Amino acid sequence: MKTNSIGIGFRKDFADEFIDNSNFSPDFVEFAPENWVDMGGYWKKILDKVTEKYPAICHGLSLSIGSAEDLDMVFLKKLKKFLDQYNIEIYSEHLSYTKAENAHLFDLLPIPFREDAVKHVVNRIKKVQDFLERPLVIENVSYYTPVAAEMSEEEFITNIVNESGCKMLLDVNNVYVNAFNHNYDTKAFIDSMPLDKIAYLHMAGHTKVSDDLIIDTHGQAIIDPVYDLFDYTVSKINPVPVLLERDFNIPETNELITEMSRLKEITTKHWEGVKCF
Amino acid sequence: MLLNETIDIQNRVARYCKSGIEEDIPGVTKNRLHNYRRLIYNIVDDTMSTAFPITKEWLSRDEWDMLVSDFLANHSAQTPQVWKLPSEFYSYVKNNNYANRFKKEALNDLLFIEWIEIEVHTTPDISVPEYKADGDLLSDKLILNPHFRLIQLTYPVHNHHAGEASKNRGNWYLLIYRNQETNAVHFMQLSQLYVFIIEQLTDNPMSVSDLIPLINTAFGIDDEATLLANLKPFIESLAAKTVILGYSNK
Repeated sequence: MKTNSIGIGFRKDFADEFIDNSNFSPDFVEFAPENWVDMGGYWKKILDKVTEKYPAICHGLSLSIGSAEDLDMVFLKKLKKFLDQYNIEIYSEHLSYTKAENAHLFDLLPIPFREDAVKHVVNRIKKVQDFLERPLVIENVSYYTPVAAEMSEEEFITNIVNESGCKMLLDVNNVYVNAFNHNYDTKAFIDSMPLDKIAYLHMAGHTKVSDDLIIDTHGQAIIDPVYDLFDYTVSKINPVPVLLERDFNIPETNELITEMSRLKEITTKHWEGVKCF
Repeated sequence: MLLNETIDIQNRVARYCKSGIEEDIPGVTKNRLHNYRRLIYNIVDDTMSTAFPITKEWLSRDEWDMLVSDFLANHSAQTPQVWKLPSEFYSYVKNNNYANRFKKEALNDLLFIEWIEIEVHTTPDISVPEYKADGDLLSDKLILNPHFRLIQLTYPVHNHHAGEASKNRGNWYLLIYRNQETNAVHFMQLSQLYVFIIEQLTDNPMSVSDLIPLINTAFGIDDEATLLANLKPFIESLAAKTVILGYSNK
Protein backbone atom coordinates (compact mmCIF):
# COMPACT_ATOMS: atom_id res chain seq x y z
CA MET A 1 0.00 0.00 0.00
CA LYS A 2 1.44 3.38 -1.00
CA THR A 3 1.51 5.82 1.87
CA ASN A 4 0.15 8.89 0.13
CA SER A 5 -2.83 7.10 -1.32
CA ILE A 6 -6.53 7.85 -1.20
CA GLY A 7 -8.98 4.97 -1.02
CA ILE A 8 -12.70 4.56 -0.60
CA GLY A 9 -15.01 2.12 1.13
CA PHE A 10 -16.19 -0.61 -1.23
CA ARG A 11 -19.98 -0.91 -0.92
CA LYS A 12 -22.47 -3.06 -2.81
CA ASP A 13 -24.59 0.04 -3.50
CA PHE A 14 -22.06 1.29 -6.04
CA ALA A 15 -20.04 -1.86 -6.70
CA ASP A 16 -20.28 -1.56 -10.48
CA GLU A 17 -18.43 1.75 -10.42
CA PHE A 18 -15.35 0.04 -9.01
CA ILE A 19 -15.26 -2.34 -11.95
CA ASP A 20 -16.70 -0.46 -14.91
CA ASN A 21 -16.07 3.27 -14.40
CA SER A 22 -12.65 4.12 -15.83
CA ASN A 23 -12.80 7.62 -14.32
CA PHE A 24 -13.18 6.19 -10.85
CA SER A 25 -9.78 4.95 -9.72
CA PRO A 26 -9.25 4.93 -5.97
CA ASP A 27 -5.75 3.94 -4.88
CA PHE A 28 -7.20 1.23 -2.65
CA VAL A 29 -10.47 -0.03 -1.21
CA GLU A 30 -11.67 -0.94 2.25
CA PHE A 31 -14.49 -3.28 3.18
CA ALA A 32 -15.95 -4.99 6.23
CA PRO A 33 -15.08 -8.69 6.31
CA GLU A 34 -18.35 -9.41 8.14
CA ASN A 35 -20.19 -8.45 4.96
CA TRP A 36 -18.22 -10.87 2.79
CA VAL A 37 -17.04 -13.88 4.81
CA ASP A 38 -19.03 -16.99 3.71
CA MET A 39 -20.41 -15.14 0.69
CA GLY A 40 -20.57 -17.07 -2.56
CA GLY A 41 -22.18 -16.59 -5.95
CA TYR A 42 -22.65 -13.22 -7.60
CA TRP A 43 -21.21 -11.08 -4.83
CA LYS A 44 -18.14 -13.22 -4.35
CA LYS A 45 -17.34 -12.81 -8.04
CA ILE A 46 -17.70 -9.05 -7.67
CA LEU A 47 -15.43 -9.00 -4.61
CA ASP A 48 -12.88 -11.13 -6.44
CA LYS A 49 -12.85 -8.67 -9.34
CA VAL A 50 -12.50 -5.66 -7.05
CA THR A 51 -9.68 -7.17 -5.01
CA GLU A 52 -7.87 -8.16 -8.19
CA LYS A 53 -8.07 -4.56 -9.37
CA TYR A 54 -7.33 -2.67 -6.13
CA PRO A 55 -5.19 -3.15 -3.02
CA ALA A 56 -7.53 -3.76 -0.07
CA ILE A 57 -7.82 -3.06 3.64
CA CYS A 58 -10.36 -4.77 5.89
CA HIS A 59 -12.29 -2.82 8.50
CA GLY A 60 -14.20 -5.01 10.92
CA LEU A 61 -17.55 -4.40 12.59
CA SER A 62 -18.28 -7.17 15.07
CA LEU A 63 -15.04 -8.16 16.78
CA SER A 64 -16.34 -6.37 19.87
CA ILE A 65 -12.91 -5.77 21.33
CA GLY A 66 -14.39 -4.09 24.42
CA SER A 67 -16.84 -6.85 25.35
CA ALA A 68 -16.83 -8.88 28.49
CA GLU A 69 -17.78 -11.77 26.21
CA ASP A 70 -15.15 -14.25 25.08
CA LEU A 71 -13.67 -13.58 21.66
CA ASP A 72 -15.64 -15.39 18.97
CA MET A 73 -13.04 -17.93 17.90
CA VAL A 74 -15.28 -19.48 15.26
CA PHE A 75 -15.58 -16.14 13.53
CA LEU A 76 -11.89 -15.32 14.06
CA LYS A 77 -10.91 -18.56 12.31
CA LYS A 78 -13.08 -17.66 9.34
CA LEU A 79 -11.71 -14.13 9.41
CA LYS A 80 -8.11 -15.31 9.35
CA LYS A 81 -8.77 -17.57 6.39
CA PHE A 82 -10.54 -14.71 4.61
CA LEU A 83 -7.72 -12.21 5.27
CA ASP A 84 -5.19 -14.75 4.01
CA GLN A 85 -7.27 -15.57 0.94
CA TYR A 86 -7.45 -11.92 -0.12
CA ASN A 87 -3.89 -11.03 0.99
CA ILE A 88 -5.15 -8.41 3.43
CA GLU A 89 -2.27 -6.87 5.36
CA ILE A 90 -4.16 -4.18 7.26
CA TYR A 91 -7.11 -5.22 9.42
CA SER A 92 -8.70 -2.56 11.57
CA GLU A 93 -11.51 -2.57 14.13
CA HIS A 94 -13.41 -0.13 16.29
CA LEU A 95 -12.55 0.71 19.88
CA SER A 96 -16.03 -0.18 21.07
CA TYR A 97 -18.18 -3.14 21.98
CA THR A 98 -20.97 -4.61 19.88
CA LYS A 99 -21.90 -7.66 21.95
CA ALA A 100 -23.18 -8.04 25.50
CA GLU A 101 -25.00 -10.78 27.41
CA ASN A 102 -24.45 -13.16 24.51
CA ALA A 103 -26.22 -10.91 21.99
CA HIS A 104 -24.74 -9.08 19.02
CA LEU A 105 -26.10 -5.55 18.66
CA PHE A 106 -24.54 -4.46 15.33
CA ASP A 107 -23.67 -0.95 16.46
CA LEU A 108 -20.65 0.55 18.15
CA LEU A 109 -21.38 1.01 21.83
CA PRO A 110 -19.08 3.20 23.94
CA ILE A 111 -16.70 1.37 26.26
CA PRO A 112 -16.52 3.01 29.69
CA PHE A 113 -13.25 4.98 29.81
CA ARG A 114 -11.84 3.09 32.80
CA GLU A 115 -8.55 1.52 33.76
CA ASP A 116 -9.94 -2.04 33.90
CA ALA A 117 -11.33 -1.56 30.39
CA VAL A 118 -7.90 -0.41 29.18
CA LYS A 119 -6.27 -3.57 30.55
CA HIS A 120 -9.06 -5.76 29.19
CA VAL A 121 -8.90 -4.29 25.68
CA VAL A 122 -5.08 -4.40 25.62
CA ASN A 123 -5.21 -8.08 26.53
CA ARG A 124 -7.75 -8.84 23.82
CA ILE A 125 -5.89 -6.86 21.16
CA LYS A 126 -2.80 -8.95 21.86
CA LYS A 127 -4.81 -12.18 21.64
CA VAL A 128 -6.35 -11.15 18.33
CA GLN A 129 -3.00 -10.10 16.89
CA ASP A 130 -1.40 -13.37 17.95
CA PHE A 131 -4.23 -15.42 16.48
CA LEU A 132 -4.49 -13.52 13.20
CA GLU A 133 -0.70 -13.27 12.87
CA ARG A 134 -1.02 -9.67 11.73
CA PRO A 135 -1.28 -6.32 13.49
CA LEU A 136 -4.67 -5.11 14.63
CA VAL A 137 -5.31 -1.44 13.91
CA ILE A 138 -7.70 0.23 16.35
CA GLU A 139 -10.00 3.11 15.42
CA ASN A 140 -11.24 5.93 17.64
CA VAL A 141 -15.04 5.82 17.43
CA SER A 142 -17.65 8.51 17.56
CA TYR A 143 -19.80 8.37 20.69
CA TYR A 144 -22.89 10.22 21.77
CA THR A 145 -22.54 9.92 25.51
CA PRO A 146 -19.73 8.87 27.80
CA VAL A 147 -20.62 5.98 30.09
CA ALA A 148 -19.27 5.88 33.65
CA ALA A 149 -16.00 7.44 32.52
CA GLU A 150 -13.08 7.67 34.94
CA MET A 151 -10.60 9.10 32.46
CA SER A 152 -10.69 11.21 29.32
CA GLU A 153 -11.19 9.73 25.86
CA GLU A 154 -7.67 10.69 24.79
CA GLU A 155 -6.15 9.00 27.87
CA PHE A 156 -8.22 5.91 27.15
CA ILE A 157 -7.15 5.65 23.52
CA THR A 158 -3.50 6.56 24.11
CA ASN A 159 -3.13 4.08 26.97
CA ILE A 160 -4.60 1.27 24.90
CA VAL A 161 -2.44 2.00 21.85
CA ASN A 162 0.73 2.40 23.89
CA GLU A 163 0.18 -0.59 26.18
CA SER A 164 -0.93 -2.99 23.44
CA GLY A 165 1.61 -1.91 20.84
CA CYS A 166 -1.14 -1.82 18.24
CA LYS A 167 -1.42 0.73 15.45
CA MET A 168 -4.16 3.31 15.27
CA LEU A 169 -6.71 4.18 12.62
CA LEU A 170 -7.40 7.85 13.28
CA ASP A 171 -10.85 8.86 12.11
CA VAL A 172 -10.65 12.62 11.70
CA ASN A 173 -14.40 13.01 11.28
CA ASN A 174 -14.97 11.11 14.53
CA VAL A 175 -12.68 13.56 16.31
CA TYR A 176 -14.75 16.43 14.92
CA VAL A 177 -18.05 14.72 15.84
CA ASN A 178 -16.91 13.94 19.38
CA ALA A 179 -15.44 17.39 19.91
CA PHE A 180 -18.76 18.93 18.88
CA ASN A 181 -20.87 16.53 20.94
CA HIS A 182 -18.72 16.73 24.07
CA ASN A 183 -17.31 20.25 23.82
CA TYR A 184 -13.61 19.80 23.41
CA ASP A 185 -10.92 21.26 21.20
CA THR A 186 -10.32 19.25 18.05
CA LYS A 187 -6.69 20.24 17.48
CA ALA A 188 -5.73 19.66 21.10
CA PHE A 189 -7.29 16.22 20.81
CA ILE A 190 -5.32 15.45 17.65
CA ASP A 191 -2.14 16.64 19.35
CA SER A 192 -2.80 14.26 22.24
CA MET A 193 -3.09 11.18 20.01
CA PRO A 194 -0.17 8.76 19.53
CA LEU A 195 0.54 10.24 16.10
CA ASP A 196 3.59 8.07 15.48
CA LYS A 197 1.31 5.01 15.65
CA ILE A 198 -1.12 6.03 12.92
CA ALA A 199 -1.56 3.30 10.28
CA TYR A 200 -4.13 5.16 8.22
CA LEU A 201 -6.79 7.84 8.36
CA HIS A 202 -10.55 7.85 7.89
CA MET A 203 -12.53 10.78 6.54
CA ALA A 204 -16.30 10.96 6.24
CA GLY A 205 -19.38 13.12 6.34
CA HIS A 206 -21.85 13.29 9.21
CA THR A 207 -25.35 14.52 10.01
CA LYS A 208 -26.13 17.28 12.48
CA VAL A 209 -29.43 16.22 14.07
CA SER A 210 -29.82 19.03 16.63
CA ASP A 211 -28.04 22.13 17.92
CA ASP A 212 -25.84 20.05 20.18
CA LEU A 213 -25.63 16.64 18.49
CA ILE A 214 -23.97 15.23 15.39
CA ILE A 215 -24.48 11.61 14.33
CA ASP A 216 -21.65 9.90 12.46
CA THR A 217 -23.75 8.70 9.51
CA HIS A 218 -21.25 8.47 6.63
CA GLY A 219 -24.21 9.69 4.62
CA GLN A 220 -23.18 13.23 3.63
CA ALA A 221 -20.28 14.98 1.95
CA ILE A 222 -17.35 16.00 4.12
CA ILE A 223 -17.81 19.54 5.44
CA ASP A 224 -15.13 22.24 5.33
CA PRO A 225 -14.28 22.25 9.06
CA VAL A 226 -13.51 18.52 8.83
CA TYR A 227 -11.28 19.17 5.80
CA ASP A 228 -9.54 21.85 7.90
CA LEU A 229 -9.00 19.39 10.74
CA PHE A 230 -7.74 16.84 8.22
CA ASP A 231 -5.26 19.41 6.88
CA TYR A 232 -4.06 20.03 10.43
CA THR A 233 -3.76 16.29 11.14
CA VAL A 234 -1.90 15.56 7.93
CA SER A 235 0.57 18.34 8.75
CA LYS A 236 1.40 16.52 11.98
CA ILE A 237 1.99 12.97 10.76
CA ASN A 238 4.04 10.92 8.35
CA PRO A 239 2.42 9.87 5.08
CA VAL A 240 -0.22 7.15 5.52
CA PRO A 241 -3.14 5.92 3.40
CA VAL A 242 -6.39 7.89 3.67
CA LEU A 243 -9.82 6.34 3.31
CA LEU A 244 -13.05 8.11 2.35
CA GLU A 245 -16.08 6.45 3.96
CA ARG A 246 -19.46 6.76 2.29
CA ASP A 247 -22.05 4.22 3.39
CA PHE A 248 -25.45 5.84 2.79
CA ASN A 249 -27.11 8.36 0.52
CA ILE A 250 -24.54 7.51 -2.15
CA PRO A 251 -24.10 10.49 -4.50
CA GLU A 252 -23.07 10.58 -8.16
CA THR A 253 -19.63 9.05 -8.51
CA ASN A 254 -18.19 12.35 -9.69
CA GLU A 255 -18.91 13.81 -6.26
CA LEU A 256 -16.91 11.02 -4.63
CA ILE A 257 -14.09 11.58 -7.11
CA THR A 258 -14.10 15.28 -6.21
CA GLU A 259 -13.90 14.47 -2.50
CA MET A 260 -11.01 12.07 -3.05
CA SER A 261 -9.22 14.67 -5.19
CA ARG A 262 -9.57 17.26 -2.46
CA LEU A 263 -8.13 14.83 0.09
CA LYS A 264 -5.25 14.10 -2.27
CA GLU A 265 -4.52 17.82 -2.72
CA ILE A 266 -4.16 18.19 1.02
CA THR A 267 -1.98 15.14 1.50
CA THR A 268 0.21 16.05 -1.45
CA LYS A 269 0.64 19.59 -0.09
CA HIS A 270 2.06 18.20 3.16
CA TRP A 271 3.59 14.92 2.14
CA GLU A 272 5.10 15.38 -1.29
CA GLY A 273 8.80 14.63 -0.98
CA VAL A 274 8.43 13.50 2.63
CA LYS A 275 10.24 10.29 3.47
CA CYS A 276 8.77 7.99 6.08
CA PHE A 277 10.87 7.39 9.15
CA MET B 1 -10.49 -8.76 33.14
CA LEU B 2 -13.23 -6.24 33.30
CA LEU B 3 -14.48 -5.45 36.79
CA ASN B 4 -17.97 -6.73 37.53
CA GLU B 5 -19.12 -3.14 37.87
CA THR B 6 -17.93 -2.31 34.33
CA ILE B 7 -19.52 -5.47 32.93
CA ASP B 8 -22.77 -4.58 34.64
CA ILE B 9 -22.69 -1.06 33.17
CA GLN B 10 -22.01 -2.39 29.67
CA ASN B 11 -24.84 -4.90 30.04
CA ARG B 12 -27.26 -2.22 31.19
CA VAL B 13 -26.47 -0.12 28.12
CA ALA B 14 -27.01 -3.14 25.88
CA ARG B 15 -30.26 -4.12 27.63
CA TYR B 16 -31.62 -0.62 27.21
CA CYS B 17 -30.68 -0.64 23.52
CA LYS B 18 -32.48 -3.94 23.02
CA SER B 19 -35.64 -3.27 25.02
CA GLY B 20 -35.98 0.51 25.17
CA ILE B 21 -36.74 0.13 28.88
CA GLU B 22 -34.86 2.70 30.96
CA GLU B 23 -31.90 1.40 32.98
CA ASP B 24 -29.99 3.13 35.74
CA ILE B 25 -26.68 3.83 34.00
CA PRO B 26 -24.07 6.04 35.65
CA GLY B 27 -22.26 8.87 33.91
CA VAL B 28 -24.34 9.24 30.78
CA THR B 29 -25.32 12.54 29.18
CA LYS B 30 -29.04 13.23 29.49
CA ASN B 31 -31.11 12.42 26.40
CA ARG B 32 -28.22 10.92 24.45
CA LEU B 33 -28.37 7.17 25.06
CA HIS B 34 -31.59 6.79 23.09
CA ASN B 35 -29.60 7.51 19.91
CA TYR B 36 -27.95 4.09 20.25
CA ARG B 37 -31.32 2.41 20.74
CA ARG B 38 -32.64 4.18 17.62
CA LEU B 39 -29.57 3.31 15.52
CA ILE B 40 -29.67 -0.36 16.51
CA TYR B 41 -33.42 -0.60 15.95
CA ASN B 42 -33.00 0.95 12.49
CA ILE B 43 -30.22 -1.50 11.59
CA VAL B 44 -32.40 -4.48 12.52
CA ASP B 45 -35.50 -3.00 10.86
CA ASP B 46 -33.59 -2.17 7.64
CA THR B 47 -31.99 -5.61 7.54
CA MET B 48 -35.32 -7.38 7.92
CA SER B 49 -37.12 -5.03 5.52
CA THR B 50 -34.51 -5.80 2.86
CA ALA B 51 -34.59 -9.55 3.51
CA PHE B 52 -38.38 -9.92 3.78
CA PRO B 53 -39.96 -7.30 1.49
CA ILE B 54 -43.00 -9.44 0.63
CA THR B 55 -43.69 -10.32 4.25
CA LYS B 56 -43.39 -6.67 5.26
CA GLU B 57 -45.84 -5.65 2.57
CA TRP B 58 -48.31 -8.33 3.63
CA LEU B 59 -48.29 -7.54 7.35
CA SER B 60 -49.81 -4.41 8.82
CA ARG B 61 -47.40 -1.73 10.02
CA ASP B 62 -48.22 -2.61 13.66
CA GLU B 63 -47.58 -6.31 13.07
CA TRP B 64 -44.25 -5.66 11.37
CA ASP B 65 -43.12 -3.25 14.05
CA MET B 66 -44.09 -5.76 16.72
CA LEU B 67 -41.98 -8.49 15.09
CA VAL B 68 -38.92 -6.25 14.81
CA SER B 69 -39.35 -4.83 18.28
CA ASP B 70 -39.95 -8.18 19.97
CA PHE B 71 -37.08 -9.80 18.07
CA LEU B 72 -34.66 -7.09 19.13
CA ALA B 73 -35.85 -7.16 22.73
CA ASN B 74 -36.15 -10.91 23.28
CA HIS B 75 -33.71 -12.59 20.94
CA SER B 76 -29.95 -12.79 21.50
CA ALA B 77 -28.45 -12.44 18.04
CA GLN B 78 -25.79 -15.11 17.58
CA THR B 79 -24.29 -14.22 14.25
CA PRO B 80 -21.66 -11.47 14.04
CA GLN B 81 -22.70 -10.99 10.40
CA VAL B 82 -25.80 -8.85 10.12
CA TRP B 83 -26.73 -10.18 6.66
CA LYS B 84 -27.25 -13.62 8.24
CA LEU B 85 -29.55 -12.23 10.94
CA PRO B 86 -32.74 -12.76 8.88
CA SER B 87 -32.28 -16.50 9.40
CA GLU B 88 -32.50 -15.95 13.16
CA PHE B 89 -35.48 -13.64 12.66
CA TYR B 90 -37.34 -16.34 10.74
CA SER B 91 -36.65 -18.90 13.49
CA TYR B 92 -37.70 -16.45 16.19
CA VAL B 93 -41.01 -15.64 14.50
CA LYS B 94 -41.74 -19.31 13.83
CA ASN B 95 -40.80 -20.51 17.31
CA ASN B 96 -42.91 -17.85 18.99
CA ASN B 97 -46.00 -18.62 16.94
CA TYR B 98 -46.71 -15.16 15.55
CA ALA B 99 -48.51 -16.83 12.63
CA ASN B 100 -51.27 -17.88 15.03
CA ARG B 101 -51.21 -14.63 16.96
CA PHE B 102 -51.66 -12.61 13.77
CA LYS B 103 -54.02 -15.23 12.27
CA LYS B 104 -51.75 -15.34 9.24
CA GLU B 105 -51.11 -19.03 8.71
CA ALA B 106 -48.71 -18.60 5.79
CA LEU B 107 -46.38 -16.26 7.69
CA ASN B 108 -43.75 -18.90 8.51
CA ASP B 109 -43.64 -20.25 4.97
CA LEU B 110 -43.36 -16.78 3.50
CA LEU B 111 -40.47 -15.81 5.78
CA PHE B 112 -38.83 -19.15 5.09
CA ILE B 113 -38.97 -18.86 1.32
CA GLU B 114 -37.70 -15.26 1.38
CA TRP B 115 -34.77 -16.33 3.58
CA ILE B 116 -33.97 -19.42 1.48
CA GLU B 117 -33.78 -17.21 -1.61
CA ILE B 118 -31.05 -15.18 0.13
CA GLU B 119 -29.35 -18.31 1.42
CA VAL B 120 -29.15 -19.88 -2.04
CA HIS B 121 -28.01 -16.61 -3.61
CA THR B 122 -25.18 -16.19 -1.11
CA THR B 123 -24.27 -19.77 -0.25
CA PRO B 124 -20.50 -20.29 -0.50
CA ASP B 125 -19.32 -21.63 -3.84
CA ILE B 126 -19.07 -25.41 -3.82
CA SER B 127 -16.73 -27.14 -6.22
CA VAL B 128 -18.28 -29.74 -8.51
CA PRO B 129 -16.74 -32.93 -9.85
CA GLU B 130 -15.45 -32.91 -13.39
CA TYR B 131 -18.23 -33.23 -15.98
CA LYS B 132 -18.85 -32.95 -19.72
CA ALA B 133 -21.61 -30.93 -21.34
CA ASP B 134 -22.93 -33.80 -23.46
CA GLY B 135 -23.44 -37.39 -22.56
CA ASP B 136 -25.67 -40.41 -22.60
CA LEU B 137 -28.81 -39.87 -20.55
CA LEU B 138 -29.21 -43.53 -19.73
CA SER B 139 -25.69 -44.59 -18.92
CA ASP B 140 -23.76 -41.46 -17.81
CA LYS B 141 -23.94 -40.11 -14.30
CA LEU B 142 -25.86 -36.85 -13.93
CA ILE B 143 -23.88 -34.11 -12.16
CA LEU B 144 -25.97 -31.70 -10.10
CA ASN B 145 -25.31 -28.02 -9.54
CA PRO B 146 -24.78 -28.08 -5.76
CA HIS B 147 -26.18 -24.57 -5.17
CA PHE B 148 -29.79 -25.41 -4.38
CA ARG B 149 -32.23 -26.23 -1.59
CA LEU B 150 -35.19 -28.56 -1.67
CA ILE B 151 -37.90 -27.31 0.62
CA GLN B 152 -41.41 -28.30 1.60
CA LEU B 153 -44.07 -25.66 2.26
CA THR B 154 -47.50 -25.98 3.85
CA TYR B 155 -48.87 -23.03 1.88
CA PRO B 156 -48.08 -22.17 -1.77
CA VAL B 157 -46.56 -18.75 -1.07
CA HIS B 158 -44.22 -19.21 -4.04
CA ASN B 159 -47.02 -18.64 -6.55
CA HIS B 160 -49.88 -17.09 -4.57
CA HIS B 161 -50.29 -13.95 -2.52
CA ALA B 162 -49.73 -15.05 1.08
CA GLY B 163 -53.35 -14.28 2.03
CA GLU B 164 -54.65 -16.51 -0.77
CA ALA B 165 -52.01 -19.15 -0.10
CA SER B 166 -53.36 -19.53 3.44
CA LYS B 167 -56.49 -21.13 1.96
CA ASN B 168 -54.47 -23.82 0.14
CA ARG B 169 -52.95 -25.92 2.88
CA GLY B 170 -51.09 -28.93 1.55
CA ASN B 171 -47.65 -30.28 0.71
CA TRP B 172 -45.78 -28.10 -1.73
CA TYR B 173 -42.29 -29.05 -2.82
CA LEU B 174 -39.88 -26.54 -4.24
CA LEU B 175 -36.45 -26.59 -5.74
CA ILE B 176 -34.72 -23.27 -5.18
CA TYR B 177 -31.51 -23.09 -7.18
CA ARG B 178 -28.78 -20.70 -8.25
CA ASN B 179 -28.18 -20.58 -11.99
CA GLN B 180 -24.57 -21.57 -12.50
CA GLU B 181 -24.01 -19.00 -15.23
CA THR B 182 -26.02 -15.96 -14.15
CA ASN B 183 -26.00 -16.56 -10.36
CA ALA B 184 -29.69 -15.61 -10.30
CA VAL B 185 -31.97 -17.59 -7.99
CA HIS B 186 -35.03 -19.40 -9.40
CA PHE B 187 -37.88 -21.50 -8.00
CA MET B 188 -39.29 -24.70 -9.46
CA GLN B 189 -42.31 -26.52 -8.06
CA LEU B 190 -41.81 -30.29 -8.03
CA SER B 191 -43.81 -33.44 -7.49
CA GLN B 192 -42.71 -35.91 -4.82
CA LEU B 193 -41.26 -38.15 -7.53
CA TYR B 194 -38.99 -35.42 -8.82
CA VAL B 195 -37.97 -34.46 -5.29
CA PHE B 196 -36.96 -38.08 -4.79
CA ILE B 197 -34.88 -38.05 -7.96
CA ILE B 198 -33.00 -34.89 -6.97
CA GLU B 199 -32.42 -36.27 -3.49
CA GLN B 200 -30.93 -39.44 -4.98
CA LEU B 201 -28.67 -37.45 -7.30
CA THR B 202 -27.57 -35.26 -4.39
CA ASP B 203 -26.57 -38.25 -2.31
CA ASN B 204 -24.70 -39.92 -5.13
CA PRO B 205 -24.36 -38.93 -8.82
CA MET B 206 -25.97 -41.67 -10.90
CA SER B 207 -27.40 -42.35 -14.32
CA VAL B 208 -31.07 -42.62 -15.25
CA SER B 209 -30.58 -46.39 -15.58
CA ASP B 210 -29.41 -46.44 -11.96
CA LEU B 211 -32.38 -44.32 -10.90
CA ILE B 212 -35.11 -46.45 -12.43
CA PRO B 213 -34.92 -49.41 -9.99
CA LEU B 214 -34.81 -46.98 -7.06
CA ILE B 215 -37.95 -45.27 -8.34
CA ASN B 216 -39.60 -48.65 -8.83
CA THR B 217 -38.90 -49.54 -5.21
CA ALA B 218 -39.96 -46.21 -3.75
CA PHE B 219 -43.04 -45.51 -5.87
CA GLY B 220 -43.99 -48.89 -7.31
CA ILE B 221 -43.73 -47.61 -10.88
CA ASP B 222 -42.70 -50.55 -13.00
CA ASP B 223 -43.66 -49.24 -16.44
CA GLU B 224 -40.13 -48.37 -17.50
CA ALA B 225 -41.06 -46.98 -20.89
CA THR B 226 -43.56 -44.48 -19.47
CA LEU B 227 -41.16 -43.55 -16.71
CA LEU B 228 -38.36 -42.90 -19.21
CA ALA B 229 -40.68 -40.85 -21.37
CA ASN B 230 -41.42 -38.63 -18.37
CA LEU B 231 -37.90 -38.49 -17.01
CA LYS B 232 -36.28 -37.41 -20.27
CA PRO B 233 -37.97 -33.99 -20.55
CA PHE B 234 -37.56 -33.44 -16.80
CA ILE B 235 -33.82 -34.11 -16.95
CA GLU B 236 -33.48 -31.96 -20.07
CA SER B 237 -35.35 -29.16 -18.35
CA LEU B 238 -33.02 -29.40 -15.32
CA ALA B 239 -30.03 -29.26 -17.66
CA ALA B 240 -31.40 -26.18 -19.43
CA LYS B 241 -31.79 -24.48 -16.04
CA THR B 242 -28.23 -25.52 -15.00
CA VAL B 243 -29.65 -27.59 -12.13
CA ILE B 244 -27.94 -30.49 -13.89
CA LEU B 245 -24.57 -29.29 -15.07
CA GLY B 246 -23.64 -32.21 -17.25
CA TYR B 247 -22.56 -35.83 -17.41
CA SER B 248 -19.76 -37.98 -16.14
CA ASN B 249 -18.79 -41.55 -16.96
CA LYS B 250 -16.22 -41.81 -14.18
